Amino acid sequence: MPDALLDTAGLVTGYGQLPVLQDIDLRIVPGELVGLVGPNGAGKTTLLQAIVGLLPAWHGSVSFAGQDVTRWDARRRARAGISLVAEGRQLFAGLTVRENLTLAATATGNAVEENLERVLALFPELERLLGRVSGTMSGGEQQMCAIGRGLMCRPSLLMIDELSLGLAPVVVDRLVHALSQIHQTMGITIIFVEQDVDLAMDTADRVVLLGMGRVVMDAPAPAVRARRTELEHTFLGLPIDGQTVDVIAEA
Amino acid sequence: MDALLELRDVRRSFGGVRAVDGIDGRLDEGRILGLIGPNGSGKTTLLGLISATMPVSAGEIVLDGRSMRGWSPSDAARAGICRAYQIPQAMPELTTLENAMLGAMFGRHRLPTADARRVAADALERVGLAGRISTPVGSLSLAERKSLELARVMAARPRLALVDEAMAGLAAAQIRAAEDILRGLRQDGVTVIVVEHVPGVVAAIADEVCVLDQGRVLRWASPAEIMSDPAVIATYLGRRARPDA
Repeated sequence: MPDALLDTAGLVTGYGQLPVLQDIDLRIVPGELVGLVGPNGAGKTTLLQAIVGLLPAWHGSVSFAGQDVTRWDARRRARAGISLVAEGRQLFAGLTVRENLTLAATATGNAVEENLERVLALFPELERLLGRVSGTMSGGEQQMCAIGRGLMCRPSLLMIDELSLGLAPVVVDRLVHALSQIHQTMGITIIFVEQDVDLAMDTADRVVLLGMGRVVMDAPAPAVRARRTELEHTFLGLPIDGQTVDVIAEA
Repeated sequence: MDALLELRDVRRSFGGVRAVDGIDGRLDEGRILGLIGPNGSGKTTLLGLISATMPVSAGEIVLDGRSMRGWSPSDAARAGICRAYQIPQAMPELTTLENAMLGAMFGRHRLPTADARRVAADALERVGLAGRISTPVGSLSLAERKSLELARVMAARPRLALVDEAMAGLAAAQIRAAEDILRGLRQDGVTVIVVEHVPGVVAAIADEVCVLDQGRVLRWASPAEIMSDPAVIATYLGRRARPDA
């Protein structure tokens, strides 16, 4: 088995006094394309934030590329190669596309020109938009810019929270195509959160299903597709195999 | 039997967003209606319209044969509509008992203080907070504050209780307790609308379930029918199901 790129062991975290993630063991090897799915409140965003270092681990550990990064802050993790494209894009709306992209490279100590070239090769659409104030662009253009910004950090692990949310089908197709290029051509390991479960199963090699802060399923996409009933029950908060799924986080 | 509540092409827009986009339906007295749907489907907006905390943009809501057009929230409260909020709205400087009394004093029955105290104490006992009556609400746990919210509704002895996410954030045992409280309300003759994010939670207690999607009724049927409806399942799995699709 190849060495893990990312390894969380017994990871627990949450907000205030409310635990959200319960005991997450997730091992991802280089080159995987992982779809992270689950109902609202399952802990998808929380998991990405704990991996990138925006939320501290209450218990357990996060290892990345063979190093224990549990106590590292987000900046150090970003420099080590973990990049998060946050939900809602979170661009600096008053800055141009070029400024957004440049900032990401300089903040993580990466060269601007070379990485910009790489991003523009992936998203030629952005070339004519480089001087545009990013807040004035369409949702799809913003998402391309946000993914581009994530790539400017030269990540070995790119995480995208809500790939398709609120975007038109034709834009989603475009982004899915870009995702496979990032994965195959650039060789970057990817975890993406996707609210459309079928899209996640069609796109990812491996699907991780979260339910109430726990990993309910973690398997190759075809195997998850074959367990449709359990999948549906997790999203509807119904019992699986006679066992009640903990639909509400244990306080 | 006449409907307690009737919704006639009820609409509410915020700017260009049609949060509630033409809802029709009727709810008979003494029933528990589960109102579910994905984020942004219009659940909380619909509760806001029924409790008159915001006006409808078009259409009509009828309570017990009377149009609610032009009603203020206090008109609705006096007519017997009482709302429990998703984020408990207790007054932090008052005790648990005093908070529960608010429902009895300013709701449908406008009880004098002594009677309100008695009714509120009784409600607190039924929700398991008898030992906490003189506790400032600031020191209650989340589960206790949610129970207090239900006790306040119970003490108001409403005709129609609107309960927004009473069970979100609670542990399994606490959910069972909240379910019992809601069934107790129904036994008292109260009609209840329960909004929950998780369909499985409402399926356990509701007599009928209304599924909203993008401000419209996707399906209004029994819990069993809802939980096996392909369009409902598709909505929860993220495919934007539309009746005309």
